[in-house]
Amino acid sequence: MGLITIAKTISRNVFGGPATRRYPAEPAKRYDLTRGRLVFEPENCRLCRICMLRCPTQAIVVERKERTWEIDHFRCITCGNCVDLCPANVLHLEPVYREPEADRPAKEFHRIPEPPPENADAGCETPGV
Amino acid sequence: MRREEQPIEVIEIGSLVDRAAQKKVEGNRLVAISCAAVEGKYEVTYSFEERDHRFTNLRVVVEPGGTVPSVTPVYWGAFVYENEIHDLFGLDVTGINVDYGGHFFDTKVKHPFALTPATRPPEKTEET
Amino acid sequence: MSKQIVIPFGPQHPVLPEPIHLDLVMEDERVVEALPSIGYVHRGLEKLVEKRDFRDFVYIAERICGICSFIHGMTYCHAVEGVMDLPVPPRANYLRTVWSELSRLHSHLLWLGLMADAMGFESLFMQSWRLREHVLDDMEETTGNRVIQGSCKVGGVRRDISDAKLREIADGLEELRPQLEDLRDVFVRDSSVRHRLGGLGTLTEQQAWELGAVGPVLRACGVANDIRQTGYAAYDELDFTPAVETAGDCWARTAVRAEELFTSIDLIQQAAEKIPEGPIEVKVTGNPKGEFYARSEQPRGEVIHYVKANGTKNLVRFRVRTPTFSNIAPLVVSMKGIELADVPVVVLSIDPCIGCAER
Repeated sequence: MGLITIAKTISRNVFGGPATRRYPAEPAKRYDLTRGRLVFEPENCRLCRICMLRCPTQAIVVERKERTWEIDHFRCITCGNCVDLCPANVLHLEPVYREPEADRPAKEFHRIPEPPPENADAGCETPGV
Repeated sequence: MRREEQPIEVIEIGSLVDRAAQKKVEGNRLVAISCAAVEGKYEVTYSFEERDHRFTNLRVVVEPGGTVPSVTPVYWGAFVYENEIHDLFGLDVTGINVDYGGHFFDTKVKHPFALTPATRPPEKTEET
Repeated sequence: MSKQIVIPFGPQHPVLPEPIHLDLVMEDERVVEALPSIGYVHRGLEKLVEKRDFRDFVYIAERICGICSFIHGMTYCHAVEGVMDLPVPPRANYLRTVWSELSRLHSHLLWLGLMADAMGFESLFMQSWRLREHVLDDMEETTGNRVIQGSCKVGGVRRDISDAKLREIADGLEELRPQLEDLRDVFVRDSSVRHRLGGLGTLTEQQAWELGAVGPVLRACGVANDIRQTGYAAYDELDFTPAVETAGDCWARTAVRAEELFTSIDLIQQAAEKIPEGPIEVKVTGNPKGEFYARSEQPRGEVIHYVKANGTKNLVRFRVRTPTFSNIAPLVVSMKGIELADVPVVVLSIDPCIGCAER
């Protein structure tokens, strides 16, 4: 009985192909939902600061006066909390991971463009516009 | 989803060891000892479970600077919880069978969860 | 009486995935006494709760442990929901159950591999981890990550699994079952494994109960104690019997875990059959006030999340008692009288997760 089990396992291992992938020569396994990296689109950001206030690791810093949005990717745990909460839907997760980095801190910096004047008071509470 | 009953009985510190011994006779196991620093006092809660999953708690309230008697004479394994409470909250537990003398959790700031935690020692300038 | 010497074991040791230090008082080759000390990876996570919104803390609670992460997140949610008296929708409870059982499967396969590695059975280790990969793929496909799922939130779950996908998971596990049975047979019946693990680190039923052993360590001593029986999440609507062994040694702990693989598969298949339609979350309004003990069964045993809140968005106290912490005392007792060469195996038999234990 033991021999049959061993033979089964051996044949599976010999003919079944490797269980691993030759990453990075081949791309890593990914799914649609994979939380790879956080992507920010500055165009429609309303500077509401919800992402900064609700980030569990305080990775995001938003400055309303300077109209800047900044993330430290070494702090970010890609939980996706900000993506769920963002009222303007300017944050989303991509299934591809970020490239490896050696320099600390790995900051990504964005300047939010000024909204066109006719939109200035449509739900936008940014001071100094 | 079934919601569990979890009665909490507040008792005097003096009767703690006797009540724990009574719990043991009734066939309870010690589930956990938890401590919380609330409103200027420490709440130490002893949780027990019977074989049929009945979950009960005994709570003693300790003033800062007070001591709690150890329940290790009754439940031998309680030493891990009591050392933890001593190291994190700075609450003195008297008569632990395996006393680490404050070295169970070696934290940089002593008693970090206490009502008034010690301040962080000045950082030594290190050359890196 | 021969001379006693003290051998320091750990915190860095090839068999230990995480740092625990043991002072072994030895008499020749026999352990007379073992004195554990931890504190190498204390992160102060419990204190952090005073600085974070209670709704966001679930992502941190999940990172208490890198293996039973989902169940930590879920138990934290149970605790907060218990304080707030939130009715979680039934579908969310079922999804939580499915993910919990997938976590248990992958954790047990990981541990079985580590155990095989500790006793020098390298190919068995590879086989276990190869099968584990299948479970991790299911996890990533449904939640977005392999081990830190992040799919639980206060009031429900963040993602739904379609009924078709649930059936696919159930069928995939059914295909995996014969391979898992082969694996279990090696762990339970193989004579070399029995010789290596049998009679090692034995605890009696009485000792295990009174020392506060939890999970497979307790069930290996003949106590059918499984927190899933208290009926949290959807377990009150599913049918299962906890796996129990009576020998109380390392072999019995291995056998209990190997058997629980099949309990988990059964539970996932039942959940895929019975899952009701409906919403997956309820809206959380207001702040929690009160206290609650949430208990659930992790792969390693019973975990407790205690939450105390005073009506603000930050909790006053969050306390986690992990299964490893509770299993330290039984470990110390079960190590008396074993030989030095058996220490790694006995330490591993409680499935130590020190990062969890110290939080």
